Amino acid sequence: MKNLIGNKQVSPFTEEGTEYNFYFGPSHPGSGNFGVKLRIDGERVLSARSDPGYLHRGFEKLMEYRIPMQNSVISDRVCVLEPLNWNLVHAEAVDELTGIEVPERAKYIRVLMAELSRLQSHLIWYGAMSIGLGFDTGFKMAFGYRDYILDLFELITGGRVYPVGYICPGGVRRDLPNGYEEKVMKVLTQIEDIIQKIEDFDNTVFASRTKGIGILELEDAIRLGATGPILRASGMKTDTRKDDPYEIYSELDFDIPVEQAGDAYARCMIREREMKESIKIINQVLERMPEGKVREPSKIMPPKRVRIPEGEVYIRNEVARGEGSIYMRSIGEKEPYRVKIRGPSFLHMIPVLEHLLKGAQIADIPAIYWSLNICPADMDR
Amino acid sequence: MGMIQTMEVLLNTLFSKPITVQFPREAIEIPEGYRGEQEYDIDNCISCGLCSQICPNKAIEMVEMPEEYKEKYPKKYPKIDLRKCCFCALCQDICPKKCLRMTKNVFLATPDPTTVVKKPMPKGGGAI
Repeated sequence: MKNLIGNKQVSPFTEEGTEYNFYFGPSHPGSGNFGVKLRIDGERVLSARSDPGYLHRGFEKLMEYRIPMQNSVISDRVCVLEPLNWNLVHAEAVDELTGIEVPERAKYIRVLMAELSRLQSHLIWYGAMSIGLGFDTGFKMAFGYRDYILDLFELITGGRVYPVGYICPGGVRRDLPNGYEEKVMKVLTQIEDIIQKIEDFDNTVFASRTKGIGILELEDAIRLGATGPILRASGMKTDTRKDDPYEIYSELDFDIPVEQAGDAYARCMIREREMKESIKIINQVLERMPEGKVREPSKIMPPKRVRIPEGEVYIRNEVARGEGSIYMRSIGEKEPYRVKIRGPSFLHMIPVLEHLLKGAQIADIPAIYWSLNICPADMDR
Repeated sequence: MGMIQTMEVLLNTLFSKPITVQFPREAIEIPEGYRGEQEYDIDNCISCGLCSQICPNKAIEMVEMPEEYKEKYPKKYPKIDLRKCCFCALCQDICPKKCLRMTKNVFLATPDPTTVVKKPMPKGGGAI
């Protein structure tokens, strides 16, 4: 019996019969739409090989045939778990190319929505990690509370999961509804409640399964291209919102949480502290929300009159999973000539995951896998 | 978490309402501005075709009316294929006469695929 691991044909068993191949994913609720081929000796992982491509939908090519307004609808789907953040990256890239001055109110709404999206994405992270560790209560609790944020999205954007281009080139699609402020505040109280519950559970279930597991040294994190919360958990103080501020982040007061340990537990701690920072940001945004227009121009241009000026742009944003970027090039037509999407999960799921899984125990695979806050959708695009 | 705290959480959970709603007996209210099935007012339509141009999924096609209505409606009107629709509401936003409107109807699952293609029909003439 011969089996493929990596690109080499190897026997599934050694002479002693203790080594074997083990497949984690790709069509399993414990892994998302992503697979890892593992070579195991007893209970120990000898080598890991990521197997991407299961969720490839070809957005980069699709975007070459559509005008920016239509592309903002597609940009949601880059990451199912945080569509508004990806809307924002795409909208900023087009705004930079067209040179449109985004109205002040639209910038505040964009940040409000991006931070709410980050909160619900972190709740999914907590939920997915809980179920990976066999802690079902955490999963149900996180997804239940996430629904309160989805109710807000439904009210503001008209859809629960997909805002379908709510943050669009030139601003946002529509203004906030009446009485949104009280509703957002109410949801924030509920989120504070769940953060408290998450903290209560930390010392029991999570600590025993995650402390000292999947340690990513800072040197390796930088070498392998980790960004965002994963890099911060390894001890580097970095955040695109502070390092390369966009929208109104330079005017807001928030901290960058940093942990030194670099293990799965440190990454969980970063997540909780980031959620608190997001609540802080949303409170500031609600306090300072200005009046005015929400889109420039206020009407959607007929597709035949759209032209993107010639040029190229590279935009990077801090999405919930790390650094999400879009490179866009235009040659003066109505569609972009080339769009390259750089999702943070690509590097977290291939080099970082392979590095961390090497030498780990089988039982620790879900803990390591989910502690990286990965999204197969943004990796495969 | 100590034993007292655990008991506290346990008792609170025992007497608190569930987080879910019992659909279909009760449902979360759908807010105004929800993007559901389209409603189309043919009498206001000027047949500009902008909805079919902006549709990212090419779900809207401009078609002629059936023979019996051709005299009253001689132009081309949008036919919406809900199977392709992603409910982005770009057609609603771009319509200069506001004759395409998203409604709150989300109950679109059907065993009959022909009913999800919304052909242009005059009011009272069998909408689908």
